Amino acid sequence: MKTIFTKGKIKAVVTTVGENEILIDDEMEKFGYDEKSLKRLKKSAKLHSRYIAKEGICTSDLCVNSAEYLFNNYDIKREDIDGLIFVTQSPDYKMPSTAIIMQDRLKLPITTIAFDVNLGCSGFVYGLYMAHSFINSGAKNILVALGDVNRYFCGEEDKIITPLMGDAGSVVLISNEENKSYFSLYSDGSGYEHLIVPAGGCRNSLNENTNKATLREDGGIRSDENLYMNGREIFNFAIKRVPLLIEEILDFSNTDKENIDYFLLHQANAYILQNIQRKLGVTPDKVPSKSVEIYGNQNSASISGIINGFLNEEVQNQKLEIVCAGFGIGLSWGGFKTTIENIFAPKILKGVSND
Amino acid sequence: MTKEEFIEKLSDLLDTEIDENTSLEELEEWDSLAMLGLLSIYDELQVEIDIDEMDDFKNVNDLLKKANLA
Repeated sequence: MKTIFTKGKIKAVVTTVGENEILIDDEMEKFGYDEKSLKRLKKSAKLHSRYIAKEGICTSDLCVNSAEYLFNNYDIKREDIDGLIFVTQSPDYKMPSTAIIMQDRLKLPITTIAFDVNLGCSGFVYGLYMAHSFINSGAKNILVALGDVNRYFCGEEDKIITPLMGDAGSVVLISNEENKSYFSLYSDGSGYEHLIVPAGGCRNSLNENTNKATLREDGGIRSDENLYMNGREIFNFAIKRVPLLIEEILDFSNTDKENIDYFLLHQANAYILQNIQRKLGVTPDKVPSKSVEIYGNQNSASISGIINGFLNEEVQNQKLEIVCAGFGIGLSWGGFKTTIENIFAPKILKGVSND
Repeated sequence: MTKEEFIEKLSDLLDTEIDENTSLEELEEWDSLAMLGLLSIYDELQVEIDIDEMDDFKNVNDLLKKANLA
C-alpha cells in the first residue's frame, strides 16, 4: 500500500539500550566458537558487541526511560500526547496491551489512544505510518514506542541468532506540522515460517515439551519457545525486496537518490546492509551500518538506534532528506521518504535511570 | 571478476586455502556464514540464484560454473 501524508513531522527520537555491553570475544565459550569461526564472524558478519538489558528489565522499561528523558528535556507536555503506539514482540504481559500500562506509568491523559502492535524489524515504519495516520486525522502529537528485549524469545545458547541481537527501547514523537511523507508497506505471509517462535500461541500452545532446548539441524540450541531464523531465506528476501522498495519510494516521491542524505535501514546484519547499499548504487556513508556492529540487531528500534547512536549531531543541526526501510519477521517490509529538521535526538542512553 | 579472483574471494571468506577441485562436503568452513557470503558474491556478479541450489553444490568448480567462470 502506498500513501502520501501531508502532515506529520518527526520532532524527537530517544533510545535507551540495555546497560550491559557484551563483546563477541567474551561469548566464545558460551556459543562454542573456536578461534577460527570467531575470526570469521568478526570479519565477515562484523560482529563486535551488543548491549543487553539486565535481568528483570522489560522492553517497556527501556521505552519508559526514553520517554521520561524526552518529557524532562524537550518542550512537550504529557497532556499534549494524543496517542501511544507500542511496537514490540516482548510485551509485559500476554494481555493487556503494554501501551495502556505505559500510559499510566508516563502519566499521560486517559484520553490517550494506547495499543500494542506485534511487529519486529518492519515495526519502525509501520509504527510511524500509524502515527502519521492519526496525525492526518487530527491528532496533535503521537508517541511511538519501539523495541525488544530479546531474552524473552531468543535461546540463551542459540549461536545462530542470539549473538546478533541487542536490547533497545526507543520513543519517536510525531507532531502535527505540514510535511510530506511517502510511505510504502508490504506483507507476505507465505514466508512466516522463516522467522518464527513456533510455540506459545493458539496454533501450538505451551506444554511440557515446548521449552526443551535441543541441538537443531542448523547448529543452534533452542526450544520451540525460542526464535528460529532461516538465515538464507531472510537474506534472500531482504536483498531482493528492499532495493526494489527503495527504488519505488524514490520514484513515488519523485526524488533522485543523490538528493537523499541518508538511507536508514533496519540493522539486520552487515552482509544484508552491504548488499542493499551496493544494489542501490550509493556510497557506504549514505547507508549507516555501524549500529549492528556496536549495539546488535535492535529489531523495531534499530532505525531509531542509528539516529541516536550515530547521527545525533546531524539530525539536531541540519535539514535532511531521509529514506527509512524496515524488513523482517512476517514477512513484512516497508519504507518511507521524509524530511527531518533540527529534531531532538540525544546520544543513546545506556540502561534505565533510577531517578 | 575472473576465476582466480572468485577463488581468492571465496578463500578469503572461508579463511582457508581452496582451489577449484576442493570438495565443499569435506570443507569444515562450508557453513551458513559461508553460504551468506557466497550469495553476496553472486549478487555482486549479478548471478540469480535460488537458495535451494546451494545444497546441490559439491565442489568449488560447481560454484564457478554457476558464476559462469568455469
